[in-house]
Amino acid sequence: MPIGQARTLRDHLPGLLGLGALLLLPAVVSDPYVWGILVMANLYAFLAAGFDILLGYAGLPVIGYGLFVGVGAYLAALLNLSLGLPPWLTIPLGGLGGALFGLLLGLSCLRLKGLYLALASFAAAAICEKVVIVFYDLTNGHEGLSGLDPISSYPLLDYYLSLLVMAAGTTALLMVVRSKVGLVLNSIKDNQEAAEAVGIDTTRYKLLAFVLASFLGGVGGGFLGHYTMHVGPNMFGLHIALTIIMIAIVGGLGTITGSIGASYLLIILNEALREVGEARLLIYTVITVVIMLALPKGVMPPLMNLLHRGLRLLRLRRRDNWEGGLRDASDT
Amino acid sequence: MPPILKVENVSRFFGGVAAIAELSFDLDANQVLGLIGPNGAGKTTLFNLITGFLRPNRGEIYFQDRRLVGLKPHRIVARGVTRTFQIPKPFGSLNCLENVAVSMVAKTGLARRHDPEILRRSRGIMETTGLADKEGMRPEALTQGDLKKLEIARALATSPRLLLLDEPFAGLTNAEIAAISDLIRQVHGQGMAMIIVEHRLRELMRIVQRVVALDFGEKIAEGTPQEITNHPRVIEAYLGTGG
Repeated sequence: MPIGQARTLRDHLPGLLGLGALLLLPAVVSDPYVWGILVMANLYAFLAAGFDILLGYAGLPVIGYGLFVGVGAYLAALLNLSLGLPPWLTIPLGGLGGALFGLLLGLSCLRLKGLYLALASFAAAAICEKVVIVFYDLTNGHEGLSGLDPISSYPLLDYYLSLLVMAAGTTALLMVVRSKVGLVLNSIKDNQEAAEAVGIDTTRYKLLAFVLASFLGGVGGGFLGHYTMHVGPNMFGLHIALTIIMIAIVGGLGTITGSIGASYLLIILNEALREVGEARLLIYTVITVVIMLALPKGVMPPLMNLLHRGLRLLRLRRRDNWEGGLRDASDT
Repeated sequence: MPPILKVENVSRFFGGVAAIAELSFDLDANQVLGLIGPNGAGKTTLFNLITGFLRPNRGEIYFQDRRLVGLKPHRIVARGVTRTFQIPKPFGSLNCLENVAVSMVAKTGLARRHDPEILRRSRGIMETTGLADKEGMRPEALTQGDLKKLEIARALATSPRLLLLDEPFAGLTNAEIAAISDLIRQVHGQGMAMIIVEHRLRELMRIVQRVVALDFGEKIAEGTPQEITNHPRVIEAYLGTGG
């Protein structure tokens, strides 16, 4: 939204319609197995929106984003298993743990850009993965920690809680990027030297992006750990991080909300392809690459255009009817 | 009146080669200083040293009697020293108004992206720089002349006391140079000191009161535009000593 232009109800309409559809989804789909898939879609949407702050807004390619997911997951697991803290407390604490690691990584990588930052973040995640394995007594090594308290005892409640977390997280991020922070982060992404030349403290804003994104990573990791009732060293790894990055890119970098559409699309696609067997990963990857090539700005911008065009058509039709009604009335 | 900027014995080396060597000069408040020299003379390096993008190996730089060496670029901007770039570096994903407003927005509270006072000031600067009808346009749609104006507009938004302009005429038509010259005079008329790096000497000499000439990082001459254009070392640096 350009500076000086106020948002109207019409601007919020697509988001409200989307949220309404997700709220009503369980009324259409009654299979708890499908609800489980939708929980994962909500979680990955939440995580990808966090990553979008780093790459889409601040231009920071932190491919080791799994670091924050892993820290949040393990911290939540340890607090739950050792101290008996409930999930509603361990998940936000996992977020704070993730944010602390985000701050540390941000501080140590401030001078790095592009590929160097990507590699440094990847290395940090890999080191933490190994550290978790080495401290066997605390973390149970490769096996990971099991028996965490579940989010709830009801699959439908799990779905609504994951939807609540996702909606709250993306709404909070949208508020941040629509405040001055989004504008300033975009200027840093466009040209850091020019941003410094006009007096912007780029270090402060880049650290803010690190802390915000890593908090979301930690919360997502904690939620994931409690939902699956298990955490393992693979949560730090590239598989989860790449899934998050792919969702953010397919959704459209710098959109936040794009992650929701892309997460539902890719997570459901991944599940639907399970019956294909061995070729699943190949087909999934090809489809994802084709989407990226066909829609380089992501699925969200064309989807929003379509939605706005539909709304405009509806309005025009209503006006036509109204004018037609007037004509009819004058004819009589 | 004490000088607004003091550069004292500043040197900067790159791998043993002196880009700036023992350079000293002063700038009075409300003075426009031309900085000239052949390519590689160290003009842009000097801008980088004053604005904190580089740190001198030796020497000191004072602005309003306060030391600048060691401060980060954004702190130096906060003191009142702002620069533009030789090749414009607009924020491509922001429109022109946002390009101007972003430095002011960055200093406000969290929720004040749409601060009416910032909008009013930004639009005032767009008006001054002749970009009023371009506020919603992306920089990619601007001409080279308008991009140079946008660089100056963005710098003005930081409310500088000293403005450093790096080749504001480079790549412009005569009409665009005339427009930028008028803008520089107008801004100077508001009481701002300036240092202008420029190769278009004829146009530069019309708007500056004093000139410093550099060659291989050393000051080879300093004086009024008249003195500099007739200075034998300046002529030698630009034209060479001949056969």
